[in-house]
Amino acid sequence: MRLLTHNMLSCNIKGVTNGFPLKLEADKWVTKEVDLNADFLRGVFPKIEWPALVAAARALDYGDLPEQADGSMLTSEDFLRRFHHALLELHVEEGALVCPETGRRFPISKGIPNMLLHEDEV
Amino acid sequence: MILNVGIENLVCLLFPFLSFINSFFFLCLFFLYTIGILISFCFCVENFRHVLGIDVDPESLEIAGENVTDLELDVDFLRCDIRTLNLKGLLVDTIVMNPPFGTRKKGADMDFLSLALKVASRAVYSLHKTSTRELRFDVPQMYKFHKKKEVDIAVDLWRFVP
Repeated sequence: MRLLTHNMLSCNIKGVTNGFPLKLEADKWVTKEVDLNADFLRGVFPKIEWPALVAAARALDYGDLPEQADGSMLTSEDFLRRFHHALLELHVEEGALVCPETGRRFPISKGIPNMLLHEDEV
Repeated sequence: MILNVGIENLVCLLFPFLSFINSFFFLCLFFLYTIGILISFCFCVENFRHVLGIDVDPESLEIAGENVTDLELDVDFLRCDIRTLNLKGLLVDTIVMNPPFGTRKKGADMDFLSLALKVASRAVYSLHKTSTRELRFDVPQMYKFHKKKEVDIAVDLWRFVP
């Protein structure tokens, strides 16, 4: 699971209102290099919840993102490179996503988060 | 290679649709209800940048994972029942899916479709069973209730715009 996917997911338990962002607990992660596409990064930037991305990247020991970001920073090549790395090159292999409201843990195994709910959560 | 099943047909069929949608697709999400044979199609279109594959069945996810590794594609997977899927906002541009045909449980395909239309902002491509043989869909025996070893099922590909 890449952090772009993490940035889209929120807790799906019935009745939960503040299910975003899911807290990332990572036990194992890997880095896979991919080509940087500046147009994609500029297009996707407005859809990203920045604080959630910063927090998730920190959980993977990547602290090179600024606390806050705005559209004007997208002209900086250095910023784009860091954004690209955090968003698309870090893959969480083992760990869990934790609901901020209920504390329910959704395990991540072999890179795949399991968000299947129990019967009483639907 | 399960991913190769029927793909050439599918891609040919889809390209006329796609030629005029050349703007920015950032995300494609599809439901691997059977197995993600549609993944390759997503990567035929250069503008697809992020693909998320969703299924409830861990075995389907595992096979799809092996296939994308073989093809050196970048796809994220999620194990979830799409009826309870909760994505943050209208993030997804396009959905490609092969929902349950709705022949065993009437209306199952419509459940998937109404959900997909809530999540996608641009288009939903969906395979549905039909009597008009536009596209042959090779279905290997995958479930216990499948009596024949392998059958050809005629399906239509629909494009829905929310």
